Amino acid sequence: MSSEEALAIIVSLAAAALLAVVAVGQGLVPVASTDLTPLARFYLLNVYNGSSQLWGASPEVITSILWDYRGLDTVYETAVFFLAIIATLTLFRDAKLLPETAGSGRGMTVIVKTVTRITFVTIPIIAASIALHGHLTPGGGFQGGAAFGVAPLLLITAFSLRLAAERGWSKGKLLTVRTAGLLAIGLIAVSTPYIIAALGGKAGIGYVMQNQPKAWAEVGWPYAIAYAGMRVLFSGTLLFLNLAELFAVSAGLALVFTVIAMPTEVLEKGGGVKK
Amino acid sequence: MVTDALTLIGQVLGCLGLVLALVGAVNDLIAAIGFVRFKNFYLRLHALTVGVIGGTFYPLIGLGTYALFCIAPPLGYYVAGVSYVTAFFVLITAPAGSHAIARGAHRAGYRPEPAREDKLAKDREEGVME
Repeated sequence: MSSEEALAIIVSLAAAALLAVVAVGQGLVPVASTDLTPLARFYLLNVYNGSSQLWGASPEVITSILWDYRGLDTVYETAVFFLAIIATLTLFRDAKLLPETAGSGRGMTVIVKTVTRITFVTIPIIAASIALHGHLTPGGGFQGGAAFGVAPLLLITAFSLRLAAERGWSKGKLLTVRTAGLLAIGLIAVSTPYIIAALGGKAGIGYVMQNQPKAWAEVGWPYAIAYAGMRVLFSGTLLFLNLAELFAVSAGLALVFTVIAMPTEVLEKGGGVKK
Repeated sequence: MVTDALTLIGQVLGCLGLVLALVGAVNDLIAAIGFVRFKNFYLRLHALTVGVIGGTFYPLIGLGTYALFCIAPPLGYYVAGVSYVTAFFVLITAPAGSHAIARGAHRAGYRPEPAREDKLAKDREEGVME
């Protein structure tokens, strides 16, 4: 054992001992303060409080903040992500995804392929569960879409891009899904007065990205439906926004992974990339 | 009498689960030492697999068994189900992952050392495998 290794071991042991002393000295309590800030107290008091004027109709505070209290912020965030993907596509604008030019199509060994077949099925299920429970448990559309993004990556790495191209993937189709998702978010953002009018209520003036009615803007989405004797909570716009975001993000990530996985010659021929 | 016996069996299985978790901790320590001390890539990969299967799969199975028998039913079933499903996926994905890493390394030109015979390299030269 060299002297450097001995030194490294001594330093790590000393750090561990210090950590233990600190933990025991504190009585093993969290180091951060457990007091809530006024802002946190406001959200916790209002977000699932039906008697409050400022409620979000969802027990999940973070989703409520992201899609309701500061929903415009998230719409812009989605738009920025969309622009980033458009920029990637502009860079490789004429690179076409065709089976003949999408590599050898050999993929990895049979071991990897078999395991991928088993795990592949679970990815969309988990993505849908994260996105559709976004208004009840931690998670949401973006997280579900990011989880779903693993599926095309796994398919391309384990099986090859050529298989994806043969099965009918194209940049245009993925971009259509991506744009439809963003369009749905935009429509939901301005939909609240129209939804109320369609349900037979008194149409009024609402805000952009309004979820529940307020005293000064009395329109809002319904937040639950009765089904088979149970009350199913869907928190107004939150479920639909999560669903639209799931489609937008998963198609966007699939698009980027597809473009990145194309052979270099195709990208060089079809884009502004020079050797 | 029967319920007493069942409780006892449950407690024994719960203790077995805890023992598995302890075995997993020991395996993790061994894997960490091996990961630092082993000489080259393929030997380190061996330590990595010990860490994943011994250090993740065993504790998850142990945790699931403990939760099934020693935590009150609704919560215990959730924890056990999640543990067993995760353990299953770790069990099937970890070998595939290390296989893919080893294959990539071999294709990139790293040769196992010390090795008496490298049949994969021979097959690749003869064109049996790509």
